[in-house]
Amino acid sequence: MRIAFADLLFSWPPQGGADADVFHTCAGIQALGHDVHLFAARHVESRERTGFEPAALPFPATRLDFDETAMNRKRVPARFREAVDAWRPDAVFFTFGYFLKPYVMEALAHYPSIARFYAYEPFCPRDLRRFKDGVPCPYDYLRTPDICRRCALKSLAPEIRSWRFLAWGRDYWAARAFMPGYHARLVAALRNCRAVVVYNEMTRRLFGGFNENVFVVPGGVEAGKFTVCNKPENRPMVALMTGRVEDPVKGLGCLMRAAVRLRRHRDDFEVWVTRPDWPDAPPGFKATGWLAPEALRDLYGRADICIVPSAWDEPFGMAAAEAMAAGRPVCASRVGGLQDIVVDGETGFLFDREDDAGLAECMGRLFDDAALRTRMGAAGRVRAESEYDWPRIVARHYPRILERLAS
Amino acid sequence: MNKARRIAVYWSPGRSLESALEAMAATEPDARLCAVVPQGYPLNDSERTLARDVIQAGEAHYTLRNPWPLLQWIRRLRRERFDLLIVLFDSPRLMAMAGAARPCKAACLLPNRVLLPMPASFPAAMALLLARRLKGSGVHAFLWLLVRLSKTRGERTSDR
Repeated sequence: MRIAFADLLFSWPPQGGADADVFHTCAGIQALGHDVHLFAARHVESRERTGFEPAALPFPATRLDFDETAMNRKRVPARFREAVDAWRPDAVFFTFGYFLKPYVMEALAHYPSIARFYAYEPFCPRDLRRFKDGVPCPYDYLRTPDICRRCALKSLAPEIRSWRFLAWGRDYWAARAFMPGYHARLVAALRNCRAVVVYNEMTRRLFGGFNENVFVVPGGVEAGKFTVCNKPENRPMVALMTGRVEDPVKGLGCLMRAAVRLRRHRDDFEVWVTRPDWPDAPPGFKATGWLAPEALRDLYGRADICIVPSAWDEPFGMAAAEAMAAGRPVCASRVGGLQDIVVDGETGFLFDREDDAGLAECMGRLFDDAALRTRMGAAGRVRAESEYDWPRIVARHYPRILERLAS
Repeated sequence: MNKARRIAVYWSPGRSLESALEAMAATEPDARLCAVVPQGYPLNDSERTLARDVIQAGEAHYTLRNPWPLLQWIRRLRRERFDLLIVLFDSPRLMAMAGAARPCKAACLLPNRVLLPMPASFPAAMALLLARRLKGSGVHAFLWLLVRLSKTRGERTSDR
C-alpha cells in the first residue's frame, strides 16, 4: 500500500513526543513493506519549530515551506493536495497539526484516511490540554463548542492584542477557528476518517459519537538505545524529573512539596530536573540543563528513581517510558496514559494527582529499599522492551489499522 | 583590506547560545562574532571558540525608578557599533532594546535558523510595536463580539 503522511508541524530532530511518533510510525510502516512518503509543512517564520531536512530521514519526505502570508486555510490545503495527488497514494495518514489540520483533511478527503491525535487537539481550542485552573476541564469543543470558543479567545487574547503569535495562536487565526462554522468542518473531517488513532483509553472515549473506529496506540521509546547500568553506591540518592519541567502542568510544584515533606525525615537525596537554569532553586534541587537525547539517556543511568508528577491528563508520558527503558523505578501521578504505562507496585508507584504526601511516601519507600528499586527497575525494563519499543508497537498495532484502511 | 563584519548574538534564556553562534558562523564565516551574555554566564568550549568577543551584560538590574543601569547598558551597546545585532526572540522588550542599541542591522534568529529582520532604530521599533498593538486590539475587540454574538450550529449535546 502507498501511504502518504501529512503533517503540519513535523521537526527533526524531534521537538516533542509527536515528532518522534511520526518518525517511528513512518519508519515502522515502511519496514512492514509499505511505501510511505511524508509530506510536512514548515512555517518558515515559526518561533518554535525547527523544521527538518528531508535527506536526513530514513524514508522519503517532502518539505512544504510556507511563509507568513502563505500559512493560511486556503494555500496550505491546496499545496498539500497538489503534492499528495502527484505522489498518487492509496491512503493518507494525517499526523500532527493544530487548527489547519481539518482543512488539509478536507482537501484530501478523496483518499481513505487515518487521523492521529497526540493530545486533545480536537477537544481543546484553548491549548490542547483540556486542563484549566489546575484541574481537568469538564468541557470539550466537539460537545460544547461555544463555551470552548470563548475560553480559547480569552486565553489567546494577549497574543492577539500584541499581534505576535506562537504556533498555536497563529494557527487559530489562520484557520479562523473562532468562527462558528469551524466546528462543523472539524466534525465532518473526523467522520470522514476510516480510523482515528489516539494514545489512551480516555481519549478514545471522548471520540464516541464522532468516529466509531478509534484505535489506542501508545507512544514508544527506542529501548535498544538505553543501557541499564547500576548507579555507583554513593550518596546522596537522586530523584530525576525529565521533560518540560518548567511547564506548570508537569507538576514540579508537587515534587517540590513532596521533597520538603521528605526532608523533614531525611536529607540523603537530591532532586535533579531538566531545566536550563534555576537561579532560585531550593536546597537539594539541581537543574541539569536541557540535554541531547544521548546525554539524557546517560542521566537516567545516574539517577536512582524517576518522578513524573504530571497534573494534567498526560496523553502518553514519554518520561515514564524512558525511565523504565533505562531500568529505573517510576513514581507517576495516576493520570491519563501514565496509569497505563506504570504498573503500580510492579514497575513503580502511582499516586493521586497533586498528592505530594503520596509522592513523598512513594519516594521514601524506594529510597529505603535498594532491592525494591532494583526489582522495579528490572520489571520496568522488561515492560519497556515488550510493550513500548517502537518496532514492536508498529508491528503490533498498525497491521489491523491498515487493514481497516484498506477495507 | 575589508574589516570583518561584527555580529553580536544577544543570548536569552530558553535558547541555546551555542547553536545560535553555530548558525551565524555558518551563515557568515568571515564575520567576527560577539556573544552578549549575562554576568557569570558559563560559556562552554565551543561557545568560546565561536565567539571571539564576549560582553557581559549588566542590564538586568534596572527598575523603573532606577533606569540608570539600563541606559548605561544601551550606551555600551551603542559604542560597539555592531554591523548586525542578533536577538533570539522577537519580544517587545528585545525589539526595543535592539533598536535602542542602534546597530547597522538587527534581526531575530528563529529556531530554524531563519533571520527575521527587525527595526534597527528605537523610533522604528516603537512604531512597529504600536502598530501591532493597535491592529491586535482592534482584531481582538471584533473577535470578542463575534464569539459572544454567534452560535455554533450542529453538534451540541450539553452546551451550557
